[in-house]
Amino acid sequence: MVLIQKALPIVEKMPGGQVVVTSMDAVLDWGRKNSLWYMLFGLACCAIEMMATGASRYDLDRFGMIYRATPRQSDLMFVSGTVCKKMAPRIKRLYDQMSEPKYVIAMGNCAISGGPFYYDTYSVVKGVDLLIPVDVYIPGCPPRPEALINGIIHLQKKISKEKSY
Amino acid sequence: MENIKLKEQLLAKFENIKIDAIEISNQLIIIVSKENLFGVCRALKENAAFEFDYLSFVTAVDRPNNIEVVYELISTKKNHRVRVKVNLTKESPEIDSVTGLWAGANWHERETYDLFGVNFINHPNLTRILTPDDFEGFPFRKDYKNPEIVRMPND
Repeated sequence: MVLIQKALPIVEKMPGGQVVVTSMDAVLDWGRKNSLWYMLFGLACCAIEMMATGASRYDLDRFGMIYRATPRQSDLMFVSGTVCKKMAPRIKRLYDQMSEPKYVIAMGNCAISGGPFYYDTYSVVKGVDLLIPVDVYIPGCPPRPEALINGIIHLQKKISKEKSY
Repeated sequence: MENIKLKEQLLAKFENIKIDAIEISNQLIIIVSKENLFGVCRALKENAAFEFDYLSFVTAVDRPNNIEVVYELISTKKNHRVRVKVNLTKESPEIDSVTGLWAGANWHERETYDLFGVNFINHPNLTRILTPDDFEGFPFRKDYKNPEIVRMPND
């Protein structure tokens, strides 16, 4: 009986009298992974591919992913393109302004390591993981929308295994 | 106006200050000393025969012995163009700003300052534009050194 009382906050009464019992983590992770609102924010040519993925042909809406034009309402940040040294503090600030839980996808070779700008350049950050933690890396120059969706599904798998304690 | 005709008129107009005019690949280039640049630009803009009302770009070239500042002028009314070049010393590249004539020169001159280190006198806001504010050195100079740059192997 004590156990049932303890379990009450995580037991929900369904219309019709049934009762659903699950672990809180499973519900939270399920909700999080299916409503990854991403930040409307692009850096370079990868952003064009990200826009194509968000538009009707590849349709990120079917994953519950809607873009948000403010970091306060975003769960996910695509770092889509070359990170210049002048842009680096702005990206860091945008990441800091996002509310927890927050995820980052490094999209394309530039965001992973500097890509074609690794050599002989004075202005490019060699990988966005030098600035902010990255969850999923998607190589490509730029990655096709299928690759981006594959990376998103990997992120969803990662989120679905999260534990809150 | 045809290049040849324009060249004759320019040489006649600036006879007393001795400018050089050459034509390379159908492009007319005049070479001006840095003291005369602002006066020449003002004449090119305001003289009814030239009417260069549009400054297409300002940039610089790092030559072995000097720094060359380049202005491309276009007349949208007369449909002709001219390129103005000025040679500056590497030690102190300083030149008058032309923002007073063409407001669009503002960011071009900031970019030239940012990348080549050319100081534009009387510029309203001569600060870095492309690189971060705390950037050191002028990256488009041939002698620019930065230990953080990774060189391409076998290059």
